[in-house]
Amino acid sequence: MADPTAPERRSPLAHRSPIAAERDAVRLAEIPFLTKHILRVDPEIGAAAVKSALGLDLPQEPLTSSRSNETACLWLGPDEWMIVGQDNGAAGLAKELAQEHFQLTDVSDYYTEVEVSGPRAREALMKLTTLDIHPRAFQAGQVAGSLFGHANAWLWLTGESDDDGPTFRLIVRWSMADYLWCLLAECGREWGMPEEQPVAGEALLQASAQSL
Amino acid sequence: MAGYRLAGGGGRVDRSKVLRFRFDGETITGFAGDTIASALLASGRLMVARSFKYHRPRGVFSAGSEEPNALVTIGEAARTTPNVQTTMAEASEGLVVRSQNAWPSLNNDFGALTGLLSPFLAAGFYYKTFIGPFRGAWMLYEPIIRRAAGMGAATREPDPDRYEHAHGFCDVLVVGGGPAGLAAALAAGRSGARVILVDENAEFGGASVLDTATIDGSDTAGWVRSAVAELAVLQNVRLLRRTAVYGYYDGNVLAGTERLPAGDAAAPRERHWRFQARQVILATGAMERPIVFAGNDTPGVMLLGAALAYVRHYGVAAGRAVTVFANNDAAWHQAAALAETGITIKAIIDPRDAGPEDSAKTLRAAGTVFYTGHVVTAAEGGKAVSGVVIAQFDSTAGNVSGGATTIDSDSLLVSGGWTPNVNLASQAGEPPVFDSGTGAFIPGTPREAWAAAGAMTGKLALQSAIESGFEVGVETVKSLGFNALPTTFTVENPNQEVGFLPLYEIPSNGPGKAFVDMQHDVKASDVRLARREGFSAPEHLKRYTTLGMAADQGRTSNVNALAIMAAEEGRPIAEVGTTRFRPPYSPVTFGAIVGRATGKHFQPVRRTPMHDWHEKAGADMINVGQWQRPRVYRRPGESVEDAYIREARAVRNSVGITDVSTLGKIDVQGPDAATFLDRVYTNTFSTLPVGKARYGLMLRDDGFLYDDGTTWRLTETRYLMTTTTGNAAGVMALLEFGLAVDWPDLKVALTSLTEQWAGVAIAGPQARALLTKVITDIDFSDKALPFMGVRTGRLGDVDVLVSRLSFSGELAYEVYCGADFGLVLWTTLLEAGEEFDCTPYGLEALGTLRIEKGHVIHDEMDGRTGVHDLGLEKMFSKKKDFVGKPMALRAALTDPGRKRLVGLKSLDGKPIRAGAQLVTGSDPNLPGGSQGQVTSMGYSPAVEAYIALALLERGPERHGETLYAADPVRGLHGPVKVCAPCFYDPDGSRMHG
Repeated sequence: MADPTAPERRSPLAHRSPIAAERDAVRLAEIPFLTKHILRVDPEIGAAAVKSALGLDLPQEPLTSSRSNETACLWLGPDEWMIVGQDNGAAGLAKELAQEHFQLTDVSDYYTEVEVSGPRAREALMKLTTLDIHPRAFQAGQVAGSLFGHANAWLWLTGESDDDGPTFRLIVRWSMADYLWCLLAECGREWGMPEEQPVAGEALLQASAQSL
Repeated sequence: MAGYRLAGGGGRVDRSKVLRFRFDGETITGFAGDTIASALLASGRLMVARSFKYHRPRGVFSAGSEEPNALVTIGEAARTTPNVQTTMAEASEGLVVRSQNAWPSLNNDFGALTGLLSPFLAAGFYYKTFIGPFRGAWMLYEPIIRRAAGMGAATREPDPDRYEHAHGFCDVLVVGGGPAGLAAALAAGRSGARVILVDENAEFGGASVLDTATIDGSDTAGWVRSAVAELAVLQNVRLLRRTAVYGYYDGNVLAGTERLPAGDAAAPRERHWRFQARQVILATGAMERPIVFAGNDTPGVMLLGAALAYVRHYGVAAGRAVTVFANNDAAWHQAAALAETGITIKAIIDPRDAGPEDSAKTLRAAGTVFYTGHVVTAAEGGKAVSGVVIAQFDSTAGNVSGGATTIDSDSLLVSGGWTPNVNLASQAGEPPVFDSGTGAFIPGTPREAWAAAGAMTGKLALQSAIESGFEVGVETVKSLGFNALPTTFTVENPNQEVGFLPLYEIPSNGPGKAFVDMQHDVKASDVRLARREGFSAPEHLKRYTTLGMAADQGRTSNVNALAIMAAEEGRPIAEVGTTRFRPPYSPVTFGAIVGRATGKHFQPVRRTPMHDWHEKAGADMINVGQWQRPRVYRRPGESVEDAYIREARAVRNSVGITDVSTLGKIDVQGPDAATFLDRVYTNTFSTLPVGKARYGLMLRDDGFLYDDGTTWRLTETRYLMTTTTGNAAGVMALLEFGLAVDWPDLKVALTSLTEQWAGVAIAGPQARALLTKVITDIDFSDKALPFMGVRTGRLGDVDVLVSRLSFSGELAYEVYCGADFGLVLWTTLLEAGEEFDCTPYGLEALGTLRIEKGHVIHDEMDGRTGVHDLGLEKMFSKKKDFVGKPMALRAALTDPGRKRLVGLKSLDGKPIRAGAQLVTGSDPNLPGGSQGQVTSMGYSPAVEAYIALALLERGPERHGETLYAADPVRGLHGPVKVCAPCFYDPDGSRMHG
């Protein structure tokens, strides 16, 4: 493990390495440093601008997403979307919308993505979410914000294959990424995923327990 | 020695796999598949427990989750689990099982002497001790009673096992995997609907094993096997064994706990399920009902169906000289089935004139003597049944007549009919209704989306149970829009329809105790006593006697108790009614409820980007909500106080840095952003020039202070609002609410940026020099970047946002950068600051610095204070309207007599504790009334004394007074001098410099 206190660009899960259950039944990996923006705009105005700047349809249907190559647009609310990709074209979009009332905010550092994949990924996530993620209820491209344990996150099903099962991404805030990572590892323990211990807080939890 | 293992049979045990476990030190041998109860029975063990109150000897009474008697403690040390039903717990190699509530041993239990005291321990004795002449002695005997009465003891060690949660969504949840539940699951599963089938037992099949019929050409066990096999391969069906659904909640949410088989170390011990079903099919079956008579709790008395289940599932016979007492035809069939396996049925006692002829023929051929028109009046023997006392019974008059006869017997099997299992239906439906066919209650009208099938609806016969299962299954999936396939099945040679004479209790005048609720030791006489004392309504009866309140939730006792009460009242049972059933139907462990939210996974620890550095530097961390922030960075030998004083001095004398990443940040954009901020803040932001920040106050609707922070104008239409750490989410919600509900016409958009930016505050006379070294594209001179100025720049390759703000009262800046670069920012500042002895400081130093300046935080803005209380009137705009303004101007909130902010200086050189009350009396014993309280305190290096902020009645008028800070809890009572709340640099020349 790299020195967690070395000065460099550092994602919230820089101190974690990808892990997997036996026979890759479930796998966890961080996908750090993707460019992410929150777009808030009137849906009709936004649709034309997103089409023209990014070549993407702005998803109008709740809990859906659109995607082309590296860039995706996730529906977060009736006037709120997340645009995510390596270079997500936000600058062009801002130019396109310049004459309108809109808000395009860089949240690249705010959130990181944890990929949860493998044939058992659904069974693993079922332990953590009150969302119905059965293939009939949650299909590729769908995205939903919810609580995972005590952490807020967006769950996005990026794809599904017959051999390897679903590939989910959890978009989680910087400060809660390690908590969620460790809980996800717990979900995979049943199939041999290694234990991951949160690296903070034990002393304090003990202290507060003793003070009771 | 009553029970024994038969030479053959037992569909659930694997006779090739022998296992051994220990019961009270003795080695018990069983087979894989045995429950603890079946193995104990097979070993000839009769007494396995002592009862809750009277320490009566008790044996295995049932074969399922209705077991009231045979409770044990399993496991050792941290894995000790008390009050486990031996009928539900599977035996495993090496398991340690211990009896409960007995000392020194099960056989010679000292506590059994409490039986002699039973006249004083009847129903309601507990309540009477509070009102009787002996109430003064309660303190004396309460601990003795508590020690004498009870069940197993829980371990005090931490639980080493893992527990998990799971969320099960489906179109159809089928609760109960007996014949009706399997049929319903088949009908639903074949239609393609998403089905979850749940059963509390280790195997599906329910009571089907008690019937000798053939279904579609195979015996009942074979039919169950093929049904389960078919369901198992359906992708749309999930089968959950060992899963007790214990609660039925609003919105068709049900909860259950799954016990996972021992042996798989990676698997959790239990899994808590939250089911969300579009439709529920309840097929929870029925449980055999005992009959109440004297000595009915003696080891060796058992439910008849249970005895047959032990033969069928485990190849275990209950006794060698068996007597049967029953009031229904089904019991005769079961007795005949027992006789056919070679078990000696000495006699069958039935209050009716005759039993069904086909089974009577079998029994007659096996040599069974029939005592029709008779009842059992008592079971004899203390620790084991030795004889059964019978007498003639007049079924029209309902009483015993004629002399008694005793039949030598080592086992008495009882069947008083069947009680539908209406618990879940009652939780989510109208009250259960009385059904004369079963002499018990069946489900009322549903309040949630469920339908009932099988024996729980009173359809006890196998054929009608399966029929109703298929029918309800088909109807249910049709209502959900699935195509149900036609289903046919044939049942041959089923047991005949059930003849039944309602009979709940054999009244007795003898000395023997007749138990209704065996787990809680509630006797028939207690039910009568409750009525005499006015507690005849079912809910009152339950609470007065504790009947039905044990871990078995009265599965075998409720109906009998209600029948006894009805008879006493001279009313039909239907009129007396039943209690409302409530969750949990089965005991739920704390482990299952907690799931993984324990130990290090208990709560998210929110980490700033510099968190690892703080920990590595040895900082004492402190919880601020879910965040952890450095409290002090102690050097070797330093106390917390030494450390924060050193850190605060460093800020005053040179420069310090602190991590402020946790502050809430909200991007506010749009043509109406300025108007919007003017409405949510008490002061004005539309007049703020671009490139400047302003401190703002927010009120709640009721006029009290809610939050504060600085908001920076980045462009004409874009602001960056900061909030306190703890209120970040609350402020965001308040702002969104305002835009969505109050002012939908405003063109403003909001996005949280709290964790986009990592932040560091740089404070002290050398702050400018330090920042000039590391951020070269910003002119930090006072002219170019004045107090409250905001600039963007670069630190190396990293974009930064700089604002000249001061919380400490020194020349100070806050620098923000992308969170991923937070550590770069922090370490760059520290390295560049070496020449200035740049010191990281924590919340304690931050606290003492801001107290010196009289800056308020949530210690003072505690939800009960307004702007006037904290001396912030000049921020309260008179020119415009804003949220909370009218209410803040209420007379009560502007009353000069209110507690208002002051400073305090310790006069005795001792700390002033936060929370201490301000009084005028110098004598700790005569303090006088409280006139205020201390809100925050610290040692001030600038004043060289302990100082504090406080809220004091008429505070601003009282500067110079001496008061006492009274903290009687800690035994402190020290003199303090009241002063203005700003102790340091009151004209602000240092931060403006």
